[in-house]
Amino acid sequence: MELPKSTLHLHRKTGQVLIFALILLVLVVLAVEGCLRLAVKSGHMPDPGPGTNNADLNYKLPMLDQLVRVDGPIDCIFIGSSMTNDGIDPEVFSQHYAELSGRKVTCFNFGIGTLTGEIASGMGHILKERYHPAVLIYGTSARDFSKEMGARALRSDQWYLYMLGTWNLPGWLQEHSMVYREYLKLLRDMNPDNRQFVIKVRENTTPYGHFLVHPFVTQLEPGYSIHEQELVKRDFNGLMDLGRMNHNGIEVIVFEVPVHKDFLPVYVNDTLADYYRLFHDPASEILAKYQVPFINTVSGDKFTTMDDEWADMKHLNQKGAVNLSSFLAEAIWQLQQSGQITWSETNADH
Amino acid sequence: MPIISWQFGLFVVVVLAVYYLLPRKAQNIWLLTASVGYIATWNTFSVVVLMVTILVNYAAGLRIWQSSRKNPKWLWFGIAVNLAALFFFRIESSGYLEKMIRGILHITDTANAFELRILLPVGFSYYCLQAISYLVDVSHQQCEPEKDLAQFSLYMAYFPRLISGPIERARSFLPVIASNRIVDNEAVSRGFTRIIIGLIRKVVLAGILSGYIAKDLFSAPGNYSSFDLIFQMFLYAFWVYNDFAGYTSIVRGVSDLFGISLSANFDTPYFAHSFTDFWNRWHISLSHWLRDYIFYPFSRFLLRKKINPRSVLYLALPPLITMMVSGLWHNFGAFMLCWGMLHGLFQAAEKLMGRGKPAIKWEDRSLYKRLGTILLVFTGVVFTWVPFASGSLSRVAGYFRAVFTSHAPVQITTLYLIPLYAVAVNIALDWIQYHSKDELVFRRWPIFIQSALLAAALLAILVSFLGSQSALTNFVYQGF
Repeated sequence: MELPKSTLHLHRKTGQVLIFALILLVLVVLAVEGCLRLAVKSGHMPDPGPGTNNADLNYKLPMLDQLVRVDGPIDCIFIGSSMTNDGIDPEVFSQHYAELSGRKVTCFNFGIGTLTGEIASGMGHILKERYHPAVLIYGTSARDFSKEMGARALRSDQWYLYMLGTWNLPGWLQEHSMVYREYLKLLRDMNPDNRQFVIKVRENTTPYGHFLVHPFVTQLEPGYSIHEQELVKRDFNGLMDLGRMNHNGIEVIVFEVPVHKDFLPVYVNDTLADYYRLFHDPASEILAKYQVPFINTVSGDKFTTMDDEWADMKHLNQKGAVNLSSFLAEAIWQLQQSGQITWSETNADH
Repeated sequence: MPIISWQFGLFVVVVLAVYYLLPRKAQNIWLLTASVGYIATWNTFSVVVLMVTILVNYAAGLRIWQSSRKNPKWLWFGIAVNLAALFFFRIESSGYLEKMIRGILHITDTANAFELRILLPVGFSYYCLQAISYLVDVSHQQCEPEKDLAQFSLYMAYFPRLISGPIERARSFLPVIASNRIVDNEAVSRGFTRIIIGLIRKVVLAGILSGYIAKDLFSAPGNYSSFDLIFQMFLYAFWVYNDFAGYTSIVRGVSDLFGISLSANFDTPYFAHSFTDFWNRWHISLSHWLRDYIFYPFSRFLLRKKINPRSVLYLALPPLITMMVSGLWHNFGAFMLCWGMLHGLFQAAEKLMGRGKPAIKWEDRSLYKRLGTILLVFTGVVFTWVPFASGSLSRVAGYFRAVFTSHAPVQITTLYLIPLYAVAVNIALDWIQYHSKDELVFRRWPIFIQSALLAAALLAILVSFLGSQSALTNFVYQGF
């Protein structure tokens, strides 16, 4: 038998279906993408958010985009965990700061659940690049440095990695494709827990990102002693990275998020010495190295709270948030007066 | 290198590109080299075992042909070597051997004791059955022994089917390897259609379903309500089917691009109207192997022993034995024996109930009866998946105990709409294939519909790939 010259015997019609399919796919995706973008831009549809594995982040990012669209460039952004999310009211802060300085500033609370020191640094970079605020204020506590704290799910999130410079297709699509964002939202909405969470957040969050918590019964939660928690190096590295950002196109301020006075003995195991040794001193040392102001609320006696200002042992309620926000406005104004920070006009124009 | 990975895609493209440029003889050498290279990406131990198996069976095949049919000592030698190796690797990879040796040597300190565990060589249980079928076929003079070592090696090691089949027969596959291959538009279209269908099953459908089957379903069944337990087994049935059928479709599609057709392994099994029919539709290459080399010989043996062909013994024993062997082939454990036994008992019951009754053609039955029968068989199959999926008999007992006694609240929510959509797509896909009696019926549809379907399929595959890579690369039948 004669061998054929070649195994491959293809004629011109090869791949016709595939070519039509690809053209159709591109056309349909582009059409849907265009329609969705128009609908979101015109306000007919809410921006679904980037679809990360942090539900707070998915909600806060479109909120901040919307705020910037309506109010113009942002002056300062608060970051931190749920303790910051509940404990800072940016409107109160701005109002109090304006009373002191005579200057109106727009701030946004970007507190998101279980934000640790390491992720705070990443989010700091992302928010700086995206919104160019003049000041980044990080509300932190020893819990943000604890190995036991949260799932640290954002560490492996594709969008988070993409935004920090590790290119990946899902991350790119999450950032740039409304079709993909809507698809991820559809998946999230299938989960009733997530749906309920979004409803709760939507009903209780102000346009400036403050999650309003109303007073409820204060109960002591054991098991959070600093001795029972292993503070991890990568979170201190995150703090160091935030320090490096200071005076690098942005000013960074760090404050201690307070905890309830009955919780403090549990938190620090009856003595403040260990609190200083394990958390406060190393953090202060890092921040001092980069000339980052560190405002004390736990270890100092300048900030005090009443029982009715707490939602639980670690989270301030609405009243407590007014107290803390006013205190911070004053503290930051004093820092500005003493020349430790300059707080120039927003970087958005730069 | 898992089949569902960009590395495998790249590997296939490179192998194909070189393959098309080579003359036929060199093509086989190239395919063999690629196959050995492919298996080496898993581990070198698997390469060594494959080489030894090839050489032993190659030599045994020649010896069988040379010796007389009345003296089948080489046949039995070859079968014994293959079965002994399979038995050893099965028992060893299941951990029984280690346990036995520890027991004999009275080793209780497991932390400091020796490590004996060896992984089952990749694809061994599949190519071992191919080797046995080759020896039997040569002995029965249904095919001549392959004198070309490279061609015989390719028969054993051909990479698209190496990991998990289909199990090819020497009499049909060796001539394919020896013949000229032409890859024309028809073959390319067939191949790509199979790959796309396979990806839809494996990546999209099985990928979705796997996310909704609780990891602790059998270790902690008490955490779930009776409804959840049954519902998740229902999802498991569709997952295991799409996982394996998807894999088979992909490798058959890849092989089509080499101009080499691989046998079908699935034919809409959940539309089966009896348990015997189910095994003619599920893992067809294995069930036909079991039928030809265990069921038929055992039935003939019973007839030679003058057993009445209408007796309970004759009707029940061959399916029972065959399915129990099938269970042990899958995994060496009492739970798999139980799985095989259940299938054997169902088949035996079918035969006994049908004894003496006039056969009514399937097509002549009413729609309701046909639907009812299909549902009944499907329910029985789902029931048998419990021991298959559980991993031990105690877990099987725990699962069924929880089904009847669990007080856990029902966890079904709107979240479960997603796997139900996947099941609906699966049933629609199967129904189209079943109704048309053509797995590639889509190629006969108008070009616009084909393009629209392909566009939707590509989008679904892309989105699934973006979703979760880890869940996709795990392949349940690879373990066998």
